[in-house]
Amino acid sequence: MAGAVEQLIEELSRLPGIGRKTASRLTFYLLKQPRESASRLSDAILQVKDRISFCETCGNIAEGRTCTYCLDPRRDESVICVVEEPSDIHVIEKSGGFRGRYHVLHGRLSPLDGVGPEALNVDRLAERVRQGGVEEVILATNPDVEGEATALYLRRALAPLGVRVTRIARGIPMGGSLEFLDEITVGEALAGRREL
Amino acid sequence: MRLTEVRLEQFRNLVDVGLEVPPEGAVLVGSNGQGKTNFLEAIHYLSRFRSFRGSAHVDAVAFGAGHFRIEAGFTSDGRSRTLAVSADRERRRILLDGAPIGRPSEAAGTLLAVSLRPEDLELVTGSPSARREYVDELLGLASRPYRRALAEYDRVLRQRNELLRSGRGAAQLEAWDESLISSGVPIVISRAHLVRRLADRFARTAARVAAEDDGYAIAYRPSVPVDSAAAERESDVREAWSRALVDRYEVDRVRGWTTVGPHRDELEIVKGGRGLERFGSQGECRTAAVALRLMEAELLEADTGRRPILLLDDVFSELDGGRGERLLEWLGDRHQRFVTSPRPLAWLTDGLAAWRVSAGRIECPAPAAAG
Ligand SMILES: [Zn+2]
Repeated sequence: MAGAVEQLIEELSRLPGIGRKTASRLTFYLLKQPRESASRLSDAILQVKDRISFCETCGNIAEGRTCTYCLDPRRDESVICVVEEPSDIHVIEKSGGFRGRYHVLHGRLSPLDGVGPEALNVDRLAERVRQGGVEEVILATNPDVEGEATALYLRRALAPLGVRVTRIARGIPMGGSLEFLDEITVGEALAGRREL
Repeated sequence: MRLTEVRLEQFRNLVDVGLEVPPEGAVLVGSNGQGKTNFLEAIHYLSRFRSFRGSAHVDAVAFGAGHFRIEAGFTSDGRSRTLAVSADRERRRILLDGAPIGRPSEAAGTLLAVSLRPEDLELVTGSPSARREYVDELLGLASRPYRRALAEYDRVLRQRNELLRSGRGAAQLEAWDESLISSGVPIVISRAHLVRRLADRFARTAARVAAEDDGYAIAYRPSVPVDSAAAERESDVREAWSRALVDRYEVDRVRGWTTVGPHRDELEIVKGGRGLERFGSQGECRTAAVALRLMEAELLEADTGRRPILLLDDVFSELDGGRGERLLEWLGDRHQRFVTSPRPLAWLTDGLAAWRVSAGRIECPAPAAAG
């Protein structure tokens, strides 16, 4: 196979969830597209890398220093919803059941992967709570073993700060990931959250 | 529940077998290595979708063939059904009444079978993990939440052990302790409940097989320091376990693994107060092993309302002093049964068709005219 084709397949198959088979299907699809559409795709990828960074307040992706949710004055500052990844925010937004602020941990506790609390965006969360005005922290980490342990860790870490800490309902099937749940399920889990 | 026909292709040395099955079952007679046990294994496989030899399905593929197929017609609750499994090195397909089944768990237990094998002796004399697996299989067959709890607990345990081993865990240890307890408590409670439910049944069954009331008993000995009554109460287990985790922290940290929890539970099997694992005679241990399997059959019947097929692999030559004959007599014709034996013993073949097994072929003589 031509070197350039092989190289694109190689690059695409490194993306999460994309195997070699899918990567080669994408490659041959792109081959048949006009030059402009390929150029738009490669520009978009570079733009993301050049213009987007992580919000200094919550860790979400942002164009600039602060993300749209932290800038939006209509959002309730007294409630913070803690998620593992920026992509989880998207799922919760689609459910329409949440109008507060977010906090992104960028991972979850997993000794097997060498991830401890120091690798997560936890200190900044405590800082936000300490600054005042926060009445409730909702822990919306994934309903799997690592997500549960991370929630239990955060509850302990936040306890001395006197803030109300809740956990999304376990109506969500255990072992799941927020990313793959529909918005109704996520909305129900949020509505059914309980004191942890 | 009774098989009506069986068809095997390339299953170990059973290359091409097609049989009509009498309602009471059959005795498979032949020397070792001819394929008797393979036949029982095939039926067991249809019931649990894994081998009682504990090997992956690829190993069951006849040498050089690349695939196998097991198909059976059976009656269950007065209905005629069919179940087929075919597998090659890559994948496995299951057909229930001709329709494909996505996950084995959806069809597991459709055909109920319980195997009694010489290797069951390991249940009694082997390590505690063999007995935990036995209990877990009994619980897991009936309950998907239990299977999920086991998988979850196993994952938390591996995380906590890694934390202990890496020695960098102090900050997150308490969170993992809490996770460990939350995921493990349902396991402890389910096991305690099951063993309490089964204790009398075991004593009765063992006494029947041994033909004397010898004081055979089973008891659940949880690793979490609670007595077996408290092991069914969530708050008691939680409390005792968190205290034990604190007490044992230094030991756990030095060893690099967790020393208290259901992964260290024991199902104790005793006779007259003596633990059989260490002090049982061969005969006593065999009796207990047979009783455990018969209990499995009774429990399946109690939970499903359907009577399992019994697969008896060379069990009778292992039971001495008339135990085999008494067992068979007691079983009567309640269960359809398949019995292997190196010799056509008269008391075995009485009332059961004798099939000759030789070099992967099974010959069924035409049924003799009644009278
Ligand atoms: Zn932000």
